[in-house]
Amino acid sequence: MASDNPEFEQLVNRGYAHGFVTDIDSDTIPPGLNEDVIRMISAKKKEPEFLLNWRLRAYEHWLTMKEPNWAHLHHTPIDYQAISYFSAPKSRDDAPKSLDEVDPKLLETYEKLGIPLHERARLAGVAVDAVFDSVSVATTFKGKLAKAGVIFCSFSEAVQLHPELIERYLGKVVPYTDNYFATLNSAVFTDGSFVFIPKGVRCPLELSTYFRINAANTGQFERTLIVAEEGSHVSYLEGCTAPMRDENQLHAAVVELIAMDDAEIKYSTVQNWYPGDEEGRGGIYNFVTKRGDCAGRNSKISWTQVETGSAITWKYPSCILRGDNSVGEFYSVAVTNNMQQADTGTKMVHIGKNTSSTIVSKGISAGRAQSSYRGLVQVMAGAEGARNHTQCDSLLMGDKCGAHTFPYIEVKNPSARVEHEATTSKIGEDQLFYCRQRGISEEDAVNMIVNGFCKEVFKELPMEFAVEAQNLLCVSLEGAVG
Amino acid sequence: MLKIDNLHARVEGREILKGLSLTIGEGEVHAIMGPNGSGKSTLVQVLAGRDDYQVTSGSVTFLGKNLLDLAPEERAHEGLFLAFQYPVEIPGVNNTYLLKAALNSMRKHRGESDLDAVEFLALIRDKMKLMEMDASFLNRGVNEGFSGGEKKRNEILQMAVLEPRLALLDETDSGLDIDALKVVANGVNSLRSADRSIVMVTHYQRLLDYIEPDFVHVLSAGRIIRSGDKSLALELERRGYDWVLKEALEESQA
Amino acid sequence: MSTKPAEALQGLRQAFADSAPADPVLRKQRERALERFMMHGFPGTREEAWRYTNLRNLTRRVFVTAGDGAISSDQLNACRIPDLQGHLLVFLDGRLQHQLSDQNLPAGLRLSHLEAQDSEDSGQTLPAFSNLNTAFNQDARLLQIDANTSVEKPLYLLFVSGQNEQPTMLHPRLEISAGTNSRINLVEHHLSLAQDENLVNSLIDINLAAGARMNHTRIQDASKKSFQICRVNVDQARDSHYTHDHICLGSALARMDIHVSLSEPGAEVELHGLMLGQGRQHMDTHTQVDHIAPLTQSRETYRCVLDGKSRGVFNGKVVVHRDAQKIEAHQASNNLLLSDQAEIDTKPELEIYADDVKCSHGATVGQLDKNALFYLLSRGIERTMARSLLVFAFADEIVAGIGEPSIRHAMEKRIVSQLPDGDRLREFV
Repeated sequence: MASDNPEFEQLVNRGYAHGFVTDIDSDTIPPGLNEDVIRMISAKKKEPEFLLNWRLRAYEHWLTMKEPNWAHLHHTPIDYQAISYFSAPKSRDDAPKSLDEVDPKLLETYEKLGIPLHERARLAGVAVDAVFDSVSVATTFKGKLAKAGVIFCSFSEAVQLHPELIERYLGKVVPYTDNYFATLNSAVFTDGSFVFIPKGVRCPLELSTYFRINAANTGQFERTLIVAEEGSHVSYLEGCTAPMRDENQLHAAVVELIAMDDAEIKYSTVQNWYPGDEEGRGGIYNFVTKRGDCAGRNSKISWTQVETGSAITWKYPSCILRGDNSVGEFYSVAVTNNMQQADTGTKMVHIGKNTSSTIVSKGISAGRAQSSYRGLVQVMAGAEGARNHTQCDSLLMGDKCGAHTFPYIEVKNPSARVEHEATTSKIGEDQLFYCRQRGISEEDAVNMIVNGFCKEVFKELPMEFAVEAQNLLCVSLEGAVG
Repeated sequence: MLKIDNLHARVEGREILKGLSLTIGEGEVHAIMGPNGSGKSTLVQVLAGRDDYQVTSGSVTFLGKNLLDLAPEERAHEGLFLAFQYPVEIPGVNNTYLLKAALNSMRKHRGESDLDAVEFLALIRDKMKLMEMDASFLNRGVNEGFSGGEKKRNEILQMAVLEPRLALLDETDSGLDIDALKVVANGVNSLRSADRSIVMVTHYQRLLDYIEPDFVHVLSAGRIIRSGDKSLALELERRGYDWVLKEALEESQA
Repeated sequence: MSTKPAEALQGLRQAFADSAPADPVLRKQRERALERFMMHGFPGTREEAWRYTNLRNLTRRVFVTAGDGAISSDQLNACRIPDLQGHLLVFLDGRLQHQLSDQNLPAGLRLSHLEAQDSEDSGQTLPAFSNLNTAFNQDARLLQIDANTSVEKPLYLLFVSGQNEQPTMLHPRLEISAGTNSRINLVEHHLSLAQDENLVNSLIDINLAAGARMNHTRIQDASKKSFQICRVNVDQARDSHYTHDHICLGSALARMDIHVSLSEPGAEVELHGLMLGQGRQHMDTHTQVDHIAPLTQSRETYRCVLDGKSRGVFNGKVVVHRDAQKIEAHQASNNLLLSDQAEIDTKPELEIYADDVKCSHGATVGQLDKNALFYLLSRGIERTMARSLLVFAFADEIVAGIGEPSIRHAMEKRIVSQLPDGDRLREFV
């Protein structure tokens, strides 16, 4: 494939368009991790004592843990003492009151990313909370959201304004003891987003966050917490990019979602962190813990992700289906090329009665990349009437890449119905020839077929994101998906 | 329009075409018949430019150009169309989109501008009526979940939209019931014109009752062993292939 | 990671001291195997390959090596599959019983003693139970099928554990070498004379030369208190064909590991298995198929029916190595849970390092088809029987694939007898 399809090579080898560095003054603490660093982060953010204590407990626990090695991933050991755990643009000290006050260079950065803050926000009706390195820079559309009773702000702001909510919900879905990276995040997280949708409210806007790692030698440890009260509804989008750097940078985020009775949370991600170069130099280590708690009856949590970036992706957005009749969904496209590695998938834990889950995972491997799907479908003894359907397909391009599938299915209830299907194949020569016979160039034909392969996932994305996702796959989308 | 001269081709190391020659003039309809394994499908695949078929010698000229030099899509741009015997399913890729992309790439090649959505839809609805196809077809994936008959109709619909100079119909009648066959034949007949040539590859004469050929050729062991008018097809239908093969053998020995 | 229960390990040392051969070379070899086992102990649930199978009950026991048992011809006849016309070899407590076995094997089929080689020398780490087998195996045998030999009738290997006073451990070891273009049907049948708590730890190595074909049917119907550990390693040369049908009925704990290496182009393997669990039975099948060469094929179908508090585990791993292009690998794991307390853990894995491949796997867990059940009820069949009929139909998908009719019939009868209302069901089958 690699040799006889130069168009595709070209396609997947396009340069990384977001690899610029923004030249602004930032306030970065020296690399290294110890209790003082954590105290310093907490102090800088003027945090209440409960949060500092929580961080310290997490740190203490982290010291007892070992980095996991079960994933199908290989990398040189991470030196956690070489990472700087806090980097904020300096102008942050006198925080912007409105978009006009935001550092124009920052705004320019977002422009380059293709997210003109005002434009895009206004046209698409999206409220954007932009996280630059570790702190939230600006949040738009606060007024409109406030009117609806929705809280959407940076995590730091939420700590100041709504400490009772943070104290109540932080770590309830992903406890600080959860896993190595989540525990590290709990100790050192610097910012993130907080969303609270009160009872019965249908959030009037799609909420959106853009994450970007700018400074060198920094890690990004953001934390997102979304609480949807009874009968509420929210759709949340997250986008990620990072500049090109030779060294690897760590991104260890935690996302916690809580859906009460009849609430629905739709969480979409387009992840385009810098993947490293063709030789595997540089790129982001994206070690993320995302978990949703379908705590209430009839609640629903839906994860959609398009993962094209990062040198290494390690993430398993999961749903704990506690409430009766609750629904969990996971739709994923993971594209790996060159030396990229992805070990990603989901966990669906069925606890409540008549819970159902759907998993659709599409992996595309090219170059020398390794892509793994790792999933767990667990049906507990009391989960009467649980249903799961999993479809897990891999497309291979080139004879040096790998595609792997590790699905775990554990069923303890006889009324459960679980179905798992997986296929792996290379891009169809017959399909390519058919398109070319109709006069379509090989490049377009590959685009078309890859796009068709991912269609089930793309149709779950909100419109603007679907466009971006398809562009990311270098596919002209017009009509091919829809 | 098309001149094939002493064409030899191999598949997986086995020689299938062994010196095939054939000339097709403008507006002519040719039928190529022959027993299974005679090389009929290989011929059309070679003409369409399939990779796994290796031309070892001979030449093919299409509208004055060396066809064998061209990539499959370039052949399509020049006006060569293949209605596949087994049209492939392309999951998730919309039928309309494929057609539009194909048509616009042809137009681009001819220096014409893209059709906009409205013009395109008008065009395609018209052609769909001809092929008695349901509007829901537009929203389905390419050949995805189509019945055998629907796939064949879809092939002729694409031909109607792309308006090729030379259409190769590979076993278009196979798997069709009589009603579907009539629809497909009707579609093909409506596309007959003075500047469009058609080559039908078929095992049975049935199709030729509906699409009348100007010439009939018998292909055996990679060569054309006999040519005639449509009465040859009727004779084959009545007497089978054995007698032609025998006669050809005797001729070659004589 | 692993477990090292002091008493069990001490027991093994004692057993080794009692049974080790006098020959110094052999003894050394076995000692090394034992030491390797001792170093890691029994596998624990922290190890990925054992995460669902806890050996606690096994490691609580102290097993002794077998003495010379006895079996009467009546007992033997009761064990045999009726109507199976084959060349019979009877192993009692791991030892070949010449007087009970067919004296003359057909031409081209040779059975000899095997001086079990210590394959640790090849540098690879061996599984714990393979080391244990090397340390303790009795009467290891080498079976050779000469090139171009077609053995008409099945070779019937009957493994019986006799009546032993104490929990006894048996370590059958067999190496089978099938010559170029040879054909053989092999039937391996494990039974117990008593409801003993024996440990049977089998190790079978199979080599298929170019063009060889082997059908290997394995029936494990041993004591429901016993521990049945079995590993089958298969290495296949060009255009060889190996079919494995495994019917797992007996034991308290059964663990089957099949590892097939498709080493040359054109090699094909078919693995089929049925696990029927009841009571507190624990049944675990791990398969691994390595597509090392291009143009190789594998197909796997496993079914598991679990009642009572039984637990089933299936782990099917397919590895497609770099440059193993144009391969096909398909796998299905279908599971039926019949009771509230039964549990199934299934994991069909794919690891693929080539691109021109067609791989698929599917896994389902469910209960009886409600529509089918309703249909039967509406035809006046009472519920218990209707259920049994459907369970039988589900299980029979595997049994029906066994080539040898006498085994098929025997297994169908055997399965029916285990189902509620089985007696009445028989007329339907």
